[in-house]
Amino acid sequence: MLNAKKVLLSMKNINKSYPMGDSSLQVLFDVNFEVYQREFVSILGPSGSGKSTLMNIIGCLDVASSGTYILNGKDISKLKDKELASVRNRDIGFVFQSFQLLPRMSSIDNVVLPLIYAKVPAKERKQRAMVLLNKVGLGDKVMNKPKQLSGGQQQRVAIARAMVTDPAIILADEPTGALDQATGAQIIELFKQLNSEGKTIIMITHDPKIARQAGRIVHILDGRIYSQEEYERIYDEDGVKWTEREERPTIKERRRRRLANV
Amino acid sequence: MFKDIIKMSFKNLAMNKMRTFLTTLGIVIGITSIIALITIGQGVTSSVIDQLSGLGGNRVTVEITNTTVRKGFTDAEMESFLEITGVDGVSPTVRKNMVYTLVPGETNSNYNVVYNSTTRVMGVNNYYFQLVANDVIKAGRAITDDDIDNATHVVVLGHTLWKRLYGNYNPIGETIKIYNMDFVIVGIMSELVGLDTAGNHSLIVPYTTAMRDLQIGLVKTFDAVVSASEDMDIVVSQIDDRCAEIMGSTSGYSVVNQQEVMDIVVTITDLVLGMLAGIAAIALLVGGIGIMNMMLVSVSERTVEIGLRKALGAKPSVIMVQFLVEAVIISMFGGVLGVAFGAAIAYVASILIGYAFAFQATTVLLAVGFSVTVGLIFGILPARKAAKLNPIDALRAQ
Repeated sequence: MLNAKKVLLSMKNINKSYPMGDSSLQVLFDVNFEVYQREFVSILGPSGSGKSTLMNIIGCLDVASSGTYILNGKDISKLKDKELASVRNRDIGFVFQSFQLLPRMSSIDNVVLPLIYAKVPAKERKQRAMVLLNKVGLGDKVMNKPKQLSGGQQQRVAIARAMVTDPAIILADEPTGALDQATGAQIIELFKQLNSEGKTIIMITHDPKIARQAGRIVHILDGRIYSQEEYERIYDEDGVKWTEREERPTIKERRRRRLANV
Repeated sequence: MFKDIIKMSFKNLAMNKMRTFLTTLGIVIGITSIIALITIGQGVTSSVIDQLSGLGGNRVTVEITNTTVRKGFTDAEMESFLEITGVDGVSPTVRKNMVYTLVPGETNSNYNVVYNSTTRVMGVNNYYFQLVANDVIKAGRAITDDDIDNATHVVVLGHTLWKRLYGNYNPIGETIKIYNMDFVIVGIMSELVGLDTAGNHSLIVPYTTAMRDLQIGLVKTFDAVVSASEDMDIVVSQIDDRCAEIMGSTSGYSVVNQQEVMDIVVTITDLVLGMLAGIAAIALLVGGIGIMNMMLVSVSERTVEIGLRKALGAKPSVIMVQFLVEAVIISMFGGVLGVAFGAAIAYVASILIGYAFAFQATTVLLAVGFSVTVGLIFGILPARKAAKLNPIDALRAQ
């Protein structure tokens, strides 16, 4: 069924390493994965797994050391800074953990921001921003500054901003990380709604409960990508290899050892 | 989009009003001092040149410096200089403080009784009026060549003296006594300003009359007026030869080409002006460093914002332009204010010192252009820093 859909994002043998003095630190190893149009995918991994690096590459904030990355038909690996900026502007809508709204600007001015860089005329900008603010349920808060809004409302403004250029994908980095559980659930609901209306969404998270809300989970661990099935074959739900599970002390055993050490 | 960038820049500057004000102040001080100094300097220099050059050609001042050898030139000796090719005329000045008398009935002065006083009497010819200033006769006429030839008893009143004796009354045609001789008032001078204001307090008479009838004595100094087309060096050396002949010696007199004096004055004023402008330029430099400092602080304060803007699709060039625009707004605003303040200071100075205030549009353009350049130069480093920020690091900077 998935094969019938159009591939929106495709990564082939993506490697990323950072130079560290004489040697280098490899963060991503031969990452291969695809996202189809209208999909809601979550990328799940603990901190240090390389998921931030992967997100930066997906979001065109960073480029891979090797491999091919094709987004919405464009080969990203060959683009310059200037062209990356315009891909970020047109093809990607960012949603950050800490909202990243400009504190001095009203909601509508924050939403309008990407359209300024897209050189959309001022009148049309306002119209498009209004439509989206209404959509996320903040039609009555357009002139409010971020400080006058709750966390959930701020994230809604950020989502409206992410959608305003009608990008190919929405890239959300721990979108519920700074919110309480109930508000976080509302944001996830909003994502689901947007997805059902046809938006492609990629959500990065470390929280399996949040990740399960998406249509598909891609696991990342130690810089390698696993599908749900592969992952379950190798790791238990705590991210420990089945093969190493026997050697792992139980919580009871650990407490016993700790007490013995004192 | 450029309009949006400008709008954003103004908003950012308005955010930190105090900081923006202080940074602008640095540029204002720099531009104000440059404009004030240049304008005052130009005004003073042109006034000095006006006074030294006078009308029609160059002047050579001849003076007897050692009066023990010879007391002065006689009338005839002085006129013999006219025989030198290129010398159009001579402008002698003899002066002495003398007693004069106003008699009621002969003249309607402020005094109802016979009034005796002492003032300076100047003996001149028509050149004096041409050389001392433009439009120098307020009423009546100047001393003419006929007056010189006939040694007539006519007098032109200096402006201050006339005011003191007559108020606003026009006494032309009336008679006053100088050294107990009747002189007919034929003219009143306008007020003289600038370097040579001696005429304001004087009774001005034909020099021939002054020498013969008032016995002021011989001419110690006079200006030879030389037509502009002549080779000055040749004329000056001929005047020098003639002096040596009359003096019977090659010393005890001086022959000075006023053009040379003027050149020296201009050179010196230019030098002083250049030095002052240099100091003012240092003030502007410090102002520029102020801009750079403020912009650097602003860039590090707004690291997250810059990162976000880049993530949302702002190209490095757009970020660079935004910060440059902020720097240029400050410097341009400072430049315009500086021009206004500088011009105001120069105007007040022109009234206090007494020279003609002249303000050139080119100075304004130069100053504003200069300050904008300063803004650009000192804005580039911070703007580049902002443009080069890595959005990942910048977003994480929180």
